[in-house]
Amino acid sequence: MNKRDKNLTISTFPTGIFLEVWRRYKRHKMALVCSFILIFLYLLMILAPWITPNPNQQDLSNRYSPPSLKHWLGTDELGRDFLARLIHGARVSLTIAFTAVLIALLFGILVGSIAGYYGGFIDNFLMRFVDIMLTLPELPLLLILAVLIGANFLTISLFIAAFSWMTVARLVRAEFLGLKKKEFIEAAIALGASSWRIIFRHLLPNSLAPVIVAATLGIADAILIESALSFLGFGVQPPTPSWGNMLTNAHDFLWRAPYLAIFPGLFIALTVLSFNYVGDGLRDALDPFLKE
Amino acid sequence: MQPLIEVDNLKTYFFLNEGILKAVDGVSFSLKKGEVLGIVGESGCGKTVTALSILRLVSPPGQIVQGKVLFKGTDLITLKEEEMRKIRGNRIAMIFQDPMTFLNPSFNIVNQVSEVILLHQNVSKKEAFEKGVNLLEKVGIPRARERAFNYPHQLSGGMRQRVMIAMALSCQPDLLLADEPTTALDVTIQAQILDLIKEIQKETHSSLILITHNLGLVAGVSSNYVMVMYAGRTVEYGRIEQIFYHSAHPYTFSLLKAFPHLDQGSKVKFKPIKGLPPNLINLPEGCSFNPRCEWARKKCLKLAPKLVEIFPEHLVACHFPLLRSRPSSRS
Repeated sequence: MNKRDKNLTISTFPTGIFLEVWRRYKRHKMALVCSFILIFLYLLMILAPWITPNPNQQDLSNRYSPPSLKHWLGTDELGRDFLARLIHGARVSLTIAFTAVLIALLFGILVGSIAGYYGGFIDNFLMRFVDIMLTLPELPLLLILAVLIGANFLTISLFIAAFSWMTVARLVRAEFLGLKKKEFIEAAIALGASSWRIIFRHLLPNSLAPVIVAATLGIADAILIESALSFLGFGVQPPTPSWGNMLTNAHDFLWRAPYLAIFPGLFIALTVLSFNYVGDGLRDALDPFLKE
Repeated sequence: MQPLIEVDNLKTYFFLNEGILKAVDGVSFSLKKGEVLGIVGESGCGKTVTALSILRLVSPPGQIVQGKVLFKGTDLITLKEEEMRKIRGNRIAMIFQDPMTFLNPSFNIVNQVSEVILLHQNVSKKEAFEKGVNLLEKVGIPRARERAFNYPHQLSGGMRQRVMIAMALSCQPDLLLADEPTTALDVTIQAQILDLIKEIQKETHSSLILITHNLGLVAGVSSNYVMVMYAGRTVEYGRIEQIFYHSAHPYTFSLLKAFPHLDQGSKVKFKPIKGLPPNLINLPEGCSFNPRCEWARKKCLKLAPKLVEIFPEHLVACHFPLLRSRPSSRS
């Protein structure tokens, strides 16, 4: 009894929902495995400067060496350690992907909630804007923007975000449209909550489940877009490694050193897959309507 | 004593494509502090809309077109939205019909209650939490401190209704609007919830407006007054004894007849009211109850009756009130 009381002090009050979510998340084995893969990847990224050799250190006598004990994943055309480049590339690719999705989320949620909550003319206006954005061809425009404005870490994130917030906005709006007719929103109004409070305290948390899934999928997408941009030579510029420009490089030596293409491809695939599974697990864990 | 709330000639219409639906058409009543009013009527007679109008929660196409709602002397109809927000949940609180859908599924139950406290009172989150737990205890949730972190879906219907009541009570409102608080619950739980509402109403000395289609409930919470509504209008209003034992309006009389009475044994058939409630967009001419009324005469088809006081504190809207009728239940 005493032990139970101890666990129920006020300090557990704000964390209740996270514990609940974690309890459910644990049951999704694939998501759990994938989140460990991602955590491992992030640890590698954070520790990269201390555990890997300099990714730009050339060793011209040792070019195209296949995977060995010294160079686990071999070396590239300038004799640089490929594993080191992959891990440093992950830093660039994932950070860009994260920043892009974060910006897209903020903007998408804002637009979606305003459109969904207020409806009418505002909704129409914002959603037609979303429609227009969705009709634009993404990759060519990204290329043009990259050329016109220049590509660096921040601009690439912004470009990607500019073309990916629409999904979030649509999702949030759709959720809001359904939720705002729910009785508990009426109850919240009857209890004296203001519009903003209803949007942020009552509607948003209830519509987060699909948004979080969309965001994790968005990270996967952003990784792919960044890779595509860099692959085409308009993204992250060499010698800074990113998964995309490493693929570009590999493309020239596909016959001579196929592992140069295989490993970045594998990393991209694994990361994207992991994010998808994590998104899946989160969706199940976050769904408040899910019955035990 | 000045009435706590005074509703004067309230009219709430819904402007639909098919025409104007007069959901509430000139309803008036007043209630003093600590008193209980039961509003009774069939589905769609305007009971809920009356309550929503008091809180100004009618949303388009609905609109309050006329009337006054004087709450402690201020007219709520003309109040600014921000001022109104300070009254909702704080001075006037509503207990909703269906606890399954009126609780936010992503808040744990103590959060639901403390949310209201945080909205209206200048307290820290910790204090709000403590108050929330106390309220949950007060409405009879066992082991409230542990259960506080449960989510609505983990509770039974009766427990959820208790949470709703705790929410409504959190700011010690002067007026409680209970909109069919027991409809979604099964009978044994109904009695518990009713007792709880009654107890709390006595304890806090707040006023209560109980909306129901169950005349038994009105008697159950020992209401002071009963208002019977039909097609958006008040057809009879009076002290509870008068309504139950000397009902003067044919509709009230028929309603009482339509109920099974335990003390009459199984032999006595209860008599349903013929026909359906009228279409509120296209009301019959004259008295709106005339198509279903056993006593309807020519005058009823042409002229709509006005609400008149036939006895002190007993108002009836009927040309031919059943003055000598005594429902046989009084044996």
